[in-house]
Amino acid sequence: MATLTLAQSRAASEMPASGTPAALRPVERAATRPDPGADARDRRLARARGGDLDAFADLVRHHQRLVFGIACRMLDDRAAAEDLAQDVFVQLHRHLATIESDAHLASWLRRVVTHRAIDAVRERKRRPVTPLDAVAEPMSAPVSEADPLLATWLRGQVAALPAAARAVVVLRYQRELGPVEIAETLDMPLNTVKSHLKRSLAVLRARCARLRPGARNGQ
Amino acid sequence: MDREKDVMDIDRALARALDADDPGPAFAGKVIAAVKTEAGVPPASVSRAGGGAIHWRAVLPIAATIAMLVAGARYQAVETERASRAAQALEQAQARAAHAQLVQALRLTGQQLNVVHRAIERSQE
Repeated sequence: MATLTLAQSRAASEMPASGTPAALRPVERAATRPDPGADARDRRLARARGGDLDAFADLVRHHQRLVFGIACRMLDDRAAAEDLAQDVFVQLHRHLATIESDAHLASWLRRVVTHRAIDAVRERKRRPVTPLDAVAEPMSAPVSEADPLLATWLRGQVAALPAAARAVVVLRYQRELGPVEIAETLDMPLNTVKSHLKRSLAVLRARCARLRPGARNGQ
Repeated sequence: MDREKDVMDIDRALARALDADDPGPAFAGKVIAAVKTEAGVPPASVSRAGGGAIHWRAVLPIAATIAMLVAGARYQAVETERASRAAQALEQAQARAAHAQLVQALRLTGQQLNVVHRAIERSQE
């Protein structure tokens, strides 16, 4: 079974026969596809577990994008995200003995960094969550999804979401997880995940629609 | 029209906007430094910690056995002391009884000697 990526799932969602939004459709992972590097990564994990710091450094390099990526989009602050990612890897070093495989490691990292990022967001008393409607629109309207202005604006919109909804959106669009995997990662009921995705996307779509030049001019 | 379609493709735009950043090549080094600082010992401490846990699991039954032996020995000592005290008390009671009997015997002997002494005195008068 081939992996169904986010792009593919989006393409599938455009088929008229489908009534389910793309964001709510599960992502089929390549569970049965052989992974040639898995054995090597498991061996590296075993060496790290045995106290090999070089192996642990390799392991950090392999997973740093996963951990930092989630932290960065959750906290919307590179310095804070780097601190959090570093803490997560230090925590991993303490818990290496409990990690069974490289697949388990990725799942463990994703779960820990997401939960810790949610906690960090909630603890930011001095920086309260801004309601989505209160986020300022860009001075000039973005023209395409590749537009850096639109990307920055969208990151701001996502960063303004409540912590749990933000985590759901980040896991969906950055890690390309399906609702079931997101629910497992966040220890959240599946329907809550779907609800977060649906509501967040509805608001973001509405805000995007208002960015259209015609809409801005009331046309 | 195309511009509007692009802007409205929220899924693709979100995936692009939320794409994971990389912390850079120096990040792993910082993590290793933090691990060394936090542990205060070489990273092999992780395996040692695991080994330590196993070691404690092996030591636990031995410790329990030693504790039971110590408790048993203590119980035995207390019991021995109690028996010793009982024996001592019995000996003291027996000694007191013997002393009383001796006193009684001496008293009787004294009385009999008095009787004999008086009889001798009477016979001499």
